[in-house]
Amino acid sequence: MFKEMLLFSHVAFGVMGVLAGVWLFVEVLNASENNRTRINYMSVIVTTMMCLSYIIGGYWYVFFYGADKAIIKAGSWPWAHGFFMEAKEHLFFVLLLLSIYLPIAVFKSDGLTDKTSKKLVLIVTGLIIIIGLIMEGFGSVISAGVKMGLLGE
Amino acid sequence: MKTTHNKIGFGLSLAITAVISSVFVVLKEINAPLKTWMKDLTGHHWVTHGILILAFFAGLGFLLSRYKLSDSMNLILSKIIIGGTLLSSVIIIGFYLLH
Repeated sequence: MFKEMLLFSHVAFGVMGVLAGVWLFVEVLNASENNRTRINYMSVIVTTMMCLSYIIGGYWYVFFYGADKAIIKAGSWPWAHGFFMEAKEHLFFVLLLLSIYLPIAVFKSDGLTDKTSKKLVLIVTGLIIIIGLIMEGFGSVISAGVKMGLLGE
Repeated sequence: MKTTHNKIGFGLSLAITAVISSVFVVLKEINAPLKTWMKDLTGHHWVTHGILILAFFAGLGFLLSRYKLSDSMNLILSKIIIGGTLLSSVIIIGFYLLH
Protein backbone atom coordinates (compact mmCIF):
# COMPACT_ATOMS: atom_id res chain seq x y z
CA MET A 1 0.00 0.00 0.00
CA PHE A 2 2.94 2.33 0.79
CA LYS A 3 4.22 1.95 -2.77
CA GLU A 4 0.82 2.77 -4.27
CA MET A 5 0.34 5.76 -1.97
CA LEU A 6 3.71 7.12 -3.09
CA LEU A 7 2.72 6.82 -6.73
CA PHE A 8 -0.70 8.43 -6.18
CA SER A 9 0.93 11.27 -4.20
CA HIS A 10 3.44 11.88 -6.99
CA VAL A 11 0.61 12.24 -9.52
CA ALA A 12 -1.63 14.24 -7.15
CA PHE A 13 1.08 16.79 -6.27
CA GLY A 14 1.91 17.13 -9.99
CA VAL A 15 -1.75 17.83 -10.85
CA MET A 16 -2.04 20.32 -7.97
CA GLY A 17 1.14 22.01 -9.21
CA VAL A 18 -0.37 22.40 -12.70
CA LEU A 19 -3.68 23.68 -11.27
CA ALA A 20 -1.83 26.14 -9.03
CA GLY A 21 0.09 27.22 -12.14
CA VAL A 22 -3.17 27.93 -14.00
CA TRP A 23 -4.44 29.92 -10.97
CA LEU A 24 -1.18 31.92 -10.87
CA PHE A 25 -1.31 32.55 -14.63
CA VAL A 26 -4.77 34.15 -14.32
CA GLU A 27 -3.71 36.16 -11.25
CA VAL A 28 -0.68 37.54 -13.13
CA LEU A 29 -2.83 38.43 -16.15
CA ASN A 30 -4.82 40.61 -13.74
CA ALA A 31 -1.85 41.70 -11.62
CA SER A 32 -2.35 44.73 -9.37
CA GLU A 33 -1.51 45.76 -5.82
CA ASN A 34 -4.75 44.04 -4.71
CA ASN A 35 -3.62 40.51 -5.65
CA ARG A 36 0.12 40.94 -5.15
CA THR A 37 0.15 38.85 -1.94
CA ARG A 38 -1.90 36.11 -3.59
CA ILE A 39 0.54 36.01 -6.53
CA ASN A 40 3.47 35.60 -4.10
CA TYR A 41 1.71 32.76 -2.24
CA MET A 42 0.67 30.97 -5.45
CA SER A 43 4.21 31.03 -6.86
CA VAL A 44 5.46 29.35 -3.67
CA ILE A 45 2.62 26.81 -3.81
CA VAL A 46 3.51 25.87 -7.43
CA THR A 47 7.15 25.36 -6.41
CA THR A 48 6.19 23.33 -3.32
CA MET A 49 3.82 21.05 -5.25
CA MET A 50 6.33 20.40 -8.05
CA CYS A 51 9.20 19.78 -5.62
CA LEU A 52 7.06 17.33 -3.60
CA SER A 53 6.04 15.57 -6.83
CA TYR A 54 9.72 15.37 -7.83
CA ILE A 55 10.96 14.04 -4.47
CA ILE A 56 8.16 11.49 -4.04
CA GLY A 57 8.27 10.41 -7.70
CA GLY A 58 12.05 10.17 -7.51
CA TYR A 59 11.89 7.99 -4.41
CA TRP A 60 9.36 5.69 -6.09
CA TYR A 61 11.41 5.59 -9.30
CA VAL A 62 14.67 4.70 -7.52
CA PHE A 63 13.25 2.09 -5.12
CA PHE A 64 10.13 0.62 -6.76
CA TYR A 65 10.13 1.20 -10.51
CA GLY A 66 12.43 -1.75 -11.28
CA ALA A 67 9.61 -4.33 -11.10
CA ASP A 68 7.30 -2.26 -13.33
CA LYS A 69 10.14 -1.66 -15.75
CA ALA A 70 10.68 -5.40 -16.17
CA ILE A 71 6.94 -5.91 -16.84
CA ILE A 72 6.85 -3.09 -19.41
CA LYS A 73 9.96 -4.31 -21.23
CA ALA A 74 8.59 -7.86 -21.41
CA GLY A 75 5.20 -6.66 -22.66
CA SER A 76 3.93 -5.40 -26.00
CA TRP A 77 4.64 -1.73 -25.20
CA PRO A 78 8.38 -1.73 -24.36
CA TRP A 79 8.61 1.82 -25.73
CA ALA A 80 6.49 2.93 -22.74
CA HIS A 81 9.78 2.64 -20.85
CA GLY A 82 12.29 3.10 -23.68
CA PHE A 83 10.86 6.44 -24.75
CA PHE A 84 8.18 7.72 -22.36
CA MET A 85 9.80 6.91 -19.01
CA GLU A 86 13.31 7.81 -20.11
CA ALA A 87 12.12 11.14 -21.57
CA LYS A 88 9.86 11.84 -18.55
CA GLU A 89 12.52 11.31 -15.91
CA HIS A 90 14.86 13.75 -17.65
CA LEU A 91 12.29 16.33 -18.79
CA PHE A 92 11.29 16.56 -15.14
CA PHE A 93 14.59 18.34 -14.43
CA VAL A 94 13.53 21.18 -16.75
CA LEU A 95 10.17 21.41 -14.97
CA LEU A 96 11.94 21.42 -11.60
CA LEU A 97 14.30 24.23 -12.64
CA LEU A 98 11.39 26.33 -13.95
CA SER A 99 9.46 25.72 -10.71
CA ILE A 100 12.40 26.73 -8.51
CA TYR A 101 12.98 29.86 -10.63
CA LEU A 102 9.30 30.93 -10.53
CA PRO A 103 9.31 32.51 -7.02
CA ILE A 104 12.63 34.21 -7.83
CA ALA A 105 11.00 35.82 -10.89
CA VAL A 106 7.92 36.78 -8.84
CA PHE A 107 9.59 38.03 -5.63
CA LYS A 108 12.47 39.79 -7.40
CA SER A 109 10.15 41.86 -9.57
CA ASP A 110 9.38 45.22 -8.00
CA GLY A 111 5.88 45.02 -9.34
CA LEU A 112 4.16 42.84 -11.86
CA THR A 113 2.47 45.83 -13.41
CA ASP A 114 5.39 46.46 -15.79
CA LYS A 115 5.17 44.62 -19.08
CA THR A 116 8.61 42.92 -18.99
CA SER A 117 8.24 41.35 -15.52
CA LYS A 118 4.66 40.30 -16.22
CA LYS A 119 5.66 38.65 -19.51
CA LEU A 120 8.53 36.77 -17.82
CA VAL A 121 6.33 35.33 -15.06
CA LEU A 122 3.57 34.43 -17.54
CA ILE A 123 6.07 32.58 -19.76
CA VAL A 124 7.69 30.68 -16.88
CA THR A 125 4.25 29.74 -15.51
CA GLY A 126 2.99 28.78 -18.98
CA LEU A 127 5.99 26.51 -19.53
CA ILE A 128 5.39 24.87 -16.13
CA ILE A 129 1.74 24.20 -17.08
CA ILE A 130 2.62 22.78 -20.51
CA ILE A 131 5.49 20.55 -19.31
CA GLY A 132 3.42 19.51 -16.28
CA LEU A 133 0.61 18.34 -18.56
CA ILE A 134 3.13 16.50 -20.76
CA MET A 135 4.43 14.75 -17.61
CA GLU A 136 0.89 13.65 -16.72
CA GLY A 137 0.33 12.32 -20.24
CA PHE A 138 3.63 10.44 -20.27
CA GLY A 139 2.76 8.97 -16.86
CA SER A 140 -0.52 7.64 -18.27
CA VAL A 141 1.30 5.90 -21.13
CA ILE A 142 3.79 4.34 -18.68
CA SER A 143 0.87 3.01 -16.55
CA ALA A 144 -0.75 1.63 -19.69
CA GLY A 145 2.57 -0.02 -20.56
CA VAL A 146 2.50 -1.90 -17.24
CA LYS A 147 -1.13 -2.89 -17.86
CA MET A 148 -0.31 -4.21 -21.33
CA GLY A 149 2.56 -6.22 -19.87
CA LEU A 150 0.36 -7.73 -17.13
CA LEU A 151 -2.43 -8.56 -19.59
CA GLY A 152 0.07 -10.26 -21.86
CA GLU A 153 -1.25 -8.38 -24.86
CA MET B 1 19.18 46.95 -8.94
CA LYS B 2 20.23 43.85 -6.98
CA THR B 3 16.68 42.64 -7.41
CA THR B 4 17.02 42.66 -11.20
CA HIS B 5 20.46 41.03 -10.99
CA ASN B 6 19.03 37.97 -9.22
CA LYS B 7 16.16 37.67 -11.65
CA ILE B 8 18.41 37.88 -14.71
CA GLY B 9 21.23 35.79 -13.19
CA PHE B 10 19.03 32.88 -12.19
CA GLY B 11 16.97 33.19 -15.40
CA LEU B 12 20.10 32.80 -17.51
CA SER B 13 21.25 29.98 -15.24
CA LEU B 14 17.90 28.23 -15.78
CA ALA B 15 18.24 28.35 -19.58
CA ILE B 16 21.91 27.28 -19.57
CA THR B 17 21.40 24.51 -16.98
CA ALA B 18 18.41 23.07 -18.87
CA VAL B 19 20.48 22.73 -22.06
CA ILE B 20 23.52 21.35 -20.21
CA SER B 21 21.26 18.82 -18.46
CA SER B 22 19.94 17.54 -21.78
CA VAL B 23 23.45 17.30 -23.25
CA PHE B 24 24.46 15.43 -20.09
CA VAL B 25 21.58 12.97 -20.73
CA VAL B 26 22.98 12.17 -24.18
CA LEU B 27 26.56 11.88 -22.86
CA LYS B 28 25.68 9.47 -20.05
CA GLU B 29 23.54 7.31 -22.36
CA ILE B 30 26.27 6.91 -24.99
CA ASN B 31 29.11 6.67 -22.47
CA ALA B 32 28.69 3.61 -20.23
CA PRO B 33 31.64 4.40 -17.87
CA LEU B 34 30.16 7.85 -17.16
CA LYS B 35 26.77 6.34 -16.32
CA THR B 36 28.43 3.73 -14.10
CA TRP B 37 30.42 6.44 -12.30
CA MET B 38 27.21 8.42 -11.72
CA LYS B 39 25.50 5.30 -10.39
CA ASP B 40 28.39 4.50 -8.06
CA LEU B 41 28.36 8.02 -6.63
CA THR B 42 24.86 7.95 -5.12
CA GLY B 43 23.46 4.52 -5.98
CA HIS B 44 21.48 5.74 -9.01
CA HIS B 45 22.58 7.75 -12.05
CA TRP B 46 19.35 9.81 -11.99
CA VAL B 47 19.93 10.91 -8.39
CA THR B 48 23.48 12.01 -9.22
CA HIS B 49 22.19 13.81 -12.32
CA GLY B 50 19.62 15.70 -10.23
CA ILE B 51 22.13 16.74 -7.57
CA LEU B 52 24.65 17.94 -10.16
CA ILE B 53 22.02 19.90 -12.09
CA LEU B 54 20.60 21.61 -8.99
CA ALA B 55 24.10 22.48 -7.72
CA PHE B 56 25.08 23.85 -11.15
CA PHE B 57 21.86 25.92 -11.38
CA ALA B 58 22.40 27.42 -7.91
CA GLY B 59 26.13 28.04 -8.39
CA LEU B 60 25.78 29.63 -11.83
CA GLY B 61 22.76 31.63 -10.67
CA PHE B 62 24.63 33.15 -7.71
CA LEU B 63 27.69 33.78 -9.90
CA LEU B 64 25.75 35.56 -12.66
CA SER B 65 23.76 37.54 -10.08
CA ARG B 66 27.00 39.20 -8.93
CA TYR B 67 27.47 40.88 -12.31
CA LYS B 68 25.55 43.84 -13.58
CA LEU B 69 24.13 42.53 -16.81
CA SER B 70 22.76 45.01 -19.33
CA ASP B 71 19.14 46.13 -19.18
CA SER B 72 18.64 44.76 -22.68
CA MET B 73 19.26 41.30 -21.19
CA ASN B 74 16.21 41.84 -18.98
CA LEU B 75 14.10 42.50 -22.08
CA ILE B 76 15.14 39.30 -23.87
CA LEU B 77 15.25 37.07 -20.75
CA SER B 78 11.83 35.57 -21.55
CA LYS B 79 13.02 34.59 -25.04
CA ILE B 80 16.23 33.08 -23.64
CA ILE B 81 14.22 30.97 -21.16
CA ILE B 82 11.83 29.79 -23.89
CA GLY B 83 14.80 28.98 -26.14
CA GLY B 84 16.66 27.07 -23.43
CA THR B 85 13.58 25.10 -22.40
CA LEU B 86 12.61 24.22 -25.98
CA LEU B 87 16.15 23.25 -26.99
CA SER B 88 16.53 21.08 -23.91
CA SER B 89 13.18 19.37 -24.52
CA VAL B 90 13.93 18.77 -28.21
CA ILE B 91 17.35 17.25 -27.39
CA ILE B 92 15.85 14.88 -24.77
CA ILE B 93 12.79 13.83 -26.82
CA GLY B 94 14.78 13.64 -30.07
CA PHE B 95 17.50 11.52 -28.48
CA TYR B 96 15.09 8.96 -26.99
CA LEU B 97 13.05 8.82 -30.21
CA LEU B 98 16.20 7.91 -32.15
CA HIS B 99 17.96 5.91 -29.43
